[in-house]
Amino acid sequence: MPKVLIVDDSLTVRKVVERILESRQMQVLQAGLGMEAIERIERDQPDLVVCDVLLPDKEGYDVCQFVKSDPRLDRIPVLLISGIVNAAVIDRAERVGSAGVMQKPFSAEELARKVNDLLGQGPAPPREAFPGNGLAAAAAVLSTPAASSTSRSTPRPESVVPVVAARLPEPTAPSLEGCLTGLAAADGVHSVVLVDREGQVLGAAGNGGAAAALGAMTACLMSASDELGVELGGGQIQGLILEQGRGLVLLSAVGESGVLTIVLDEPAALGKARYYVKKAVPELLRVL
Amino acid sequence: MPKVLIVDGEGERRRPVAETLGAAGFEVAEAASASVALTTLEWNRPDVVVSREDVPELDGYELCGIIRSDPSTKSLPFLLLTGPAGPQAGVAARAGVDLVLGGTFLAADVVDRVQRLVSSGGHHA
Repeated sequence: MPKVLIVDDSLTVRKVVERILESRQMQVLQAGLGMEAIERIERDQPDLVVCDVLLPDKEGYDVCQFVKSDPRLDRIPVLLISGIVNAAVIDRAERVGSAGVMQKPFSAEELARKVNDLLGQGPAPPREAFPGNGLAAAAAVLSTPAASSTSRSTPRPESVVPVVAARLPEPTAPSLEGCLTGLAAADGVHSVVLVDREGQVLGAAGNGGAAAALGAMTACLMSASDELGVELGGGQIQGLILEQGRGLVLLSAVGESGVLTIVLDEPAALGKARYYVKKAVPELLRVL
Repeated sequence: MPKVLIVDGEGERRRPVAETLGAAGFEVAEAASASVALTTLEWNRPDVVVSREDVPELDGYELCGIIRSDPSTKSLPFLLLTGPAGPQAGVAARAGVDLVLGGTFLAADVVDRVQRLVSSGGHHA
């Protein structure tokens, strides 16, 4: 039975991948962090790694590079998954020897097809052929024999990284509101405001109704900081952290013209918030 | 504007509900399968999930169960739409479904239940 490691900080994504692949007679291992993934790869030597590009402690590229630089592991294909697939992502994926980049969201069929391709085996139909209910699904029996583990072959090297485009039946275009709402829903985040360098509010989410005031102050602070950045010779300031009584305010540049202001309820949320911002900035740049 | 994610593999069933919700002032996202819905949630987070019982890949109960098992999504209100037979006894509650709409219903009924869930302020275990 092929062994696949799914690496993603989203428990939901890990679980859905687990369900998709286990129903197709594969063993699924999980890791939520880059370091944990590396430990599991060394210990368990999976047949395939499916890895998110952005992880809390590392990037998926780092995990892939680790695999490809170790002669004991370099046969293992690494399929990267990402909410954003553009030329830069494809280029980095190619440079670290990834077997491809698949865009999130994806359907079960898309994932299974790509995984089967990388494992060098034919498709195994899912055990649950669109069950009508949960109990029936739980009681479903195997409809096909398990794929033979001997059918696996060494994955072929690919000089060009193929992008598996998400062929969604009806794709949902990313929206500014969606990005900001996602950020505001993160643990410890009180509210999120995106403003331009003039202080005009471009979008807001979360608690509180002080978006306009936050926008004006953000523009003022970033403008002053930019002067400091020039004085220091390091160029435009990319971010500011302001300490408040109980929490923090994090200001992060979004490209040349935007600033994301995140109000945090507690200082401990800073690390996570910076990680979420790192994930959100490319998406924000796309929708701005 | 509250956002609703509709999960239904049948476009002809999904679209009228989406249009009615849109006309009622909701921002609507659609997913034709459970895996698309679940891999969408990471960034396109809705205020309410509306799912058919018989969605492709996983059923509506399993979809809800996965959402409830993740700390980052466990509070999402979940409305399950079922066929004439109604929900399986006890399964909906165990999966964490907040409301069930079964049998013959209009798209306006879905809007009514979604509004209730938005007002309720999230799933209460």
